[in-house]
Amino acid sequence: MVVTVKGKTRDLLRFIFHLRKRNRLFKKAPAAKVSPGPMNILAQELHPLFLELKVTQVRQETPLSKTFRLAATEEGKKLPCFRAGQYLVVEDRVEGTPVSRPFSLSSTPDEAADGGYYDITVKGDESGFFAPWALSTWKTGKILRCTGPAGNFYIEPLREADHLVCLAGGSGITPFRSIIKDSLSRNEAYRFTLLYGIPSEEEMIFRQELQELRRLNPDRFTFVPVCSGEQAPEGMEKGFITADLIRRYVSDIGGVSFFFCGPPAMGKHLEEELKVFHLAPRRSRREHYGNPPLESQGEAEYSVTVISGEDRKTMAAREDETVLIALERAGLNPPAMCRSGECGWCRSRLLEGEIRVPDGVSGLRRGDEKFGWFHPCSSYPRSDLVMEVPENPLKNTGE
Amino acid sequence: MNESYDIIVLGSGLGGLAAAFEASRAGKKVLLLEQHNLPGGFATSFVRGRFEFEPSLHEMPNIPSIEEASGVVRYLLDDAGLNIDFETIPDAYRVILTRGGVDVRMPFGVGAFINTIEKQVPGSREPVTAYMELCRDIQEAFGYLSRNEKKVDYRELMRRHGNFIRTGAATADEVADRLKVPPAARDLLYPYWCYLGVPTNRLSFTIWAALLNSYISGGAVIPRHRSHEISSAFVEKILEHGGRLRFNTQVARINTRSGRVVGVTTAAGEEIHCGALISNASPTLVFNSLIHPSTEVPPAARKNINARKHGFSLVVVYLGLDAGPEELGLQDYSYFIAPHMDTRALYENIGNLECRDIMQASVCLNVANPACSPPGTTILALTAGFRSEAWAAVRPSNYVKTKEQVARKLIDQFEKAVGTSILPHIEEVEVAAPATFARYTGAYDGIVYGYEPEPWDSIVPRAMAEEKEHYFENLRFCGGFSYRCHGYGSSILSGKSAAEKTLARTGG
Repeated sequence: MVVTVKGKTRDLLRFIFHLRKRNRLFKKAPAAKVSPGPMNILAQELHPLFLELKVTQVRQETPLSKTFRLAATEEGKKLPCFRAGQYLVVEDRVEGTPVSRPFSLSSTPDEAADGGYYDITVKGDESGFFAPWALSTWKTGKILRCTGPAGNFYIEPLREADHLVCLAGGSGITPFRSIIKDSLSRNEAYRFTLLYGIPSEEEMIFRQELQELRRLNPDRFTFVPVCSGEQAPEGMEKGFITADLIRRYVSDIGGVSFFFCGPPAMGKHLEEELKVFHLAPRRSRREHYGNPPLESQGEAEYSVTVISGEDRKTMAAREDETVLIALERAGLNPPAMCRSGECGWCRSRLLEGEIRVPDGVSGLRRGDEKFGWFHPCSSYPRSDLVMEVPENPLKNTGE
Repeated sequence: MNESYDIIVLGSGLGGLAAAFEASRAGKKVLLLEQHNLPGGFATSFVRGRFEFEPSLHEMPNIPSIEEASGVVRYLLDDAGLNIDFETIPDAYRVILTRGGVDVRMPFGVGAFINTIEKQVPGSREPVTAYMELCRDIQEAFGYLSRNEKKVDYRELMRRHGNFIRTGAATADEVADRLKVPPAARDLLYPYWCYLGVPTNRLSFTIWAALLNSYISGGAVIPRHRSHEISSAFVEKILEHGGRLRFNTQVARINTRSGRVVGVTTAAGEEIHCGALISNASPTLVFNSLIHPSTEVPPAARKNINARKHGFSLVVVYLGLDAGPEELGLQDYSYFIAPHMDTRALYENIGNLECRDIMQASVCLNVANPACSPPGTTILALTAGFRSEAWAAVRPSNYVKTKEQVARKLIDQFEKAVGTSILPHIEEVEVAAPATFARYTGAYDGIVYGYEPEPWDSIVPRAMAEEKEHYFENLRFCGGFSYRCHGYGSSILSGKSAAEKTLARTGG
C-alpha cells in the first residue's frame, strides 16, 4: 500500500522542510532563561523538606506533659499549611545521639497562618528516650530541625460521615485538639463525640480548652473524659473506653466515622472492643503512637550489620525493639518519620537475615517485599541482619 | 571525599534506571543519584491502608518482538532479564462520549478493532483498515530504524518504508482526512491521543501511528505490583552489576568546564566527579538551573527549549473502594470519558478547574489485576490532563479544598458516564495535582509529559538532530523529555540508548 498525504513529491518536500522548520523555530526562539516552574514553587511551599523552628513558648500542661510552641526562625517567614491531625518530625541530639520523633500538631492550621505557630505537646515518662529529654532540655529559644507536616490522619470530606467519634488515649488527644477546634471554627457539617481516656485527672491535657469548646458548641461537640485511675472524679466516666460506653454516647454507630489516636496497647484494646460494631474499614481511622506492639516479646539479642559503600558497621539489636531503634542507638541517624510502618520513609534494603513485622502495620510495597526491602520502624529482628540504610535527607541538606 | 565515577546518572526515573542498568552491565563504574527516597520517578507506588496505588501507568504495549520499536516489555524481560510479573489487560478501552451517545468497548487485535468500528460506523471498514495498515507500516519502519540505529540508510528506508517518509511531516488528522476516515470512526479511533497529550490536528502522525498500532496489534500489560515493580527490578540489576544508587541525594548543580561535564555537586555540598553524565532531568531543568557556571550554557540550548511547548501535567484521583468491581458494575479496565472526541477542543479545555467539558482517562486496576487489592475492594484511578497554569492561582491555603473540588467533579463525571455510584464506597482517597508530581519527581512544573511531539519535534526530527543539538560532549538526556518523546516505553528505551551512545564515546 502506498499512501501519500499531499502527493508523492510534495510529501518528500514536506518531510525535508519539516526538518528545516525545526532549525528555523530554534533560531527564532528567545535565548532567555525559563523561570522556575510555579508548581515546583508551590510544592516547596506546601512540602519543604525540612524546617528550622524555634521554641517560642513552653507551657506545662500536666505534671508529665508540656506544649512547645514553635515558630519560624526567620521573622515573617510563613509556616507550611497543614491538615488538622497531621504531625511533624522533630530532630534533636539526645545525649549526643541524633534521633527524631513524630509529634502531632495540637494547634490548628489557622494558628499557623501568617507568621503564626505550631504547637506540639510532648508527654513523657521515665521509660521513654526522646520525650524525657525534650521535656527537661527544650527551653524558649531552642532551635529544632523538623520535617514539614505529614501524615494521613485527618478528616477526608470525600469519605467521612458527618458524625466523628474520636477515641483518644493519653497524648493521643493532641491531633484531636487540632481537628475538633479547626472544624468547629468553620461552618462545617461535622459534629464530634470525643472519648478521652486518661489514667488520672491530673494527666488530662487541654482540659479547660475542651470544656470551653463543648460549652460554645453544645450541638456539635460532646466531650467525655474517661478516667481509668482509682479516683475518677465526678463528671468523668470511670474505667476504660469500651463498646458499651461508646454505645451510651453514640446512638447511630452505623452512621459515624471512628478516629483513634493513642498508645498501641490502647489501640489493641479498642480494636477488640469495636469488633462488635462490624465497622467498615472506611469508617475507622487510626494513628498509632509509638512502635507497633509485638505478640510475644523475647529477650534475645542479635547483631545488625549496616553496609554503606565499603564500610561495615555492626551493632546490637534486641528482639523486642525495632530495627530502627537499634540503628538510632548506634548513632546512625537513619531517615524516619511515622515510626509505625505507614509512611515508608525509613525504607531500607535487607541483604541477610529474618525480620518479623506485627500484623497490619507493614505498609510495605509489594514490590519492596519481592525485592528485599523493608521498613525498619515496624520490623523486629529474628536473626542477625545485614542491611543497607539510605541517607538521611535532613542530614543531607547541609547543616 | 572526592569520589569519581565513569558515569553519573542524574535521576532514577525509568530513563535513568535503564541508563544506569546498561552502563553498569557494560562494566562501567556507575553512580545513580535520586533526590527522592524511592526509585522510578513516576513509576512508583504508594500505600494507603489496604491499598497500594499505581501512580501513573495505565498500560504498556505488549509487542511480541524485541526487534520492534515498542517491544519494551520484551526488552525488560528477555534482554535486561528483569524479574517482573506482567498482567494482561483484557480490552483496549471503553469510550464513552456523553454528548454523542457513544458507549463502545474497543477490543485489542486489529481485526476485532476494525470490526467494532465498522459495526458502530457502517461503511467505515475500508478507510479504517487502510489507516490501521498504514500504522503498522510506520511501526515496521521504526523497527527498521531501531535495528539500524547506528547507521540509518535513508535510501533504503525510502525504498522499504516510503509511507514512513511521506507521512513524516503529517499530523494524525491529515492522514485521517487523506484516507477519508469518517468523523464517527475517529471518535472511536482517537482516545489514545491523551497518552501523547497533543490534539490530533497538531500531533505527529508518526508517533501516533506507532502508539496506536503497538497497543491495538499487541495488546497491553501492566506489572503485577504496580510500576514500582519495574523500578525495583531495575534497581536490583543495577546493584547486582556493581552500580551504586544513592537516594535522598539531590543534585544542586552540574559542574562543567570548556563544554564538558566534569561532575556534580549535591545539595549537601559534596562534589562528585564523572567521565560522563546521563540526565533523566529534563533539558529545561539542566540548562536553566543545573549547569554551572551558567555561562557555559550555549544560547542554542535555551532557544531549543523555548521553541518547544512543554507538555501538560495531570490530576489523578486515586480511590480505594470498599466494594468489588462486580458490585460497582465496573467491567472495564480503561475508560475514556469525554463529552465528545474533538481533540482540539478537549486540549483547549485541559486545565479548567471547573472541569468543564474535559476528558478523563480512568482505570479500574482490578479488571486486569484481580489480586491488586483485597477481595471485595476496588482500586480506581481517575485521570485528567491539567496544565499547571490552571493551578498557578491556587495558594497553599486553598490547595486541599481545590483538589477536593476537582476530585468531586471527576468522580461525578465518572459516575454519570458509567452509571455507577462510587462516592459512598470511598475507603482511601488521594488526589495528586501538578504540585504533587513536582514534589515527588522534581519534574519541571510538575509536568508529566515531555515536549509536545508535533511533526517538526517528533521522534524522527529529534533523532536526526540529536548529534547537532548535543551541547555538551559528555552529557546525554533520557526520559520523557528526550528524543524518544514521553511514555513508559519511550523513557526506558531512551535510557538504554543514552547509555549505549555514552559507552560508544567512552569506549564501552
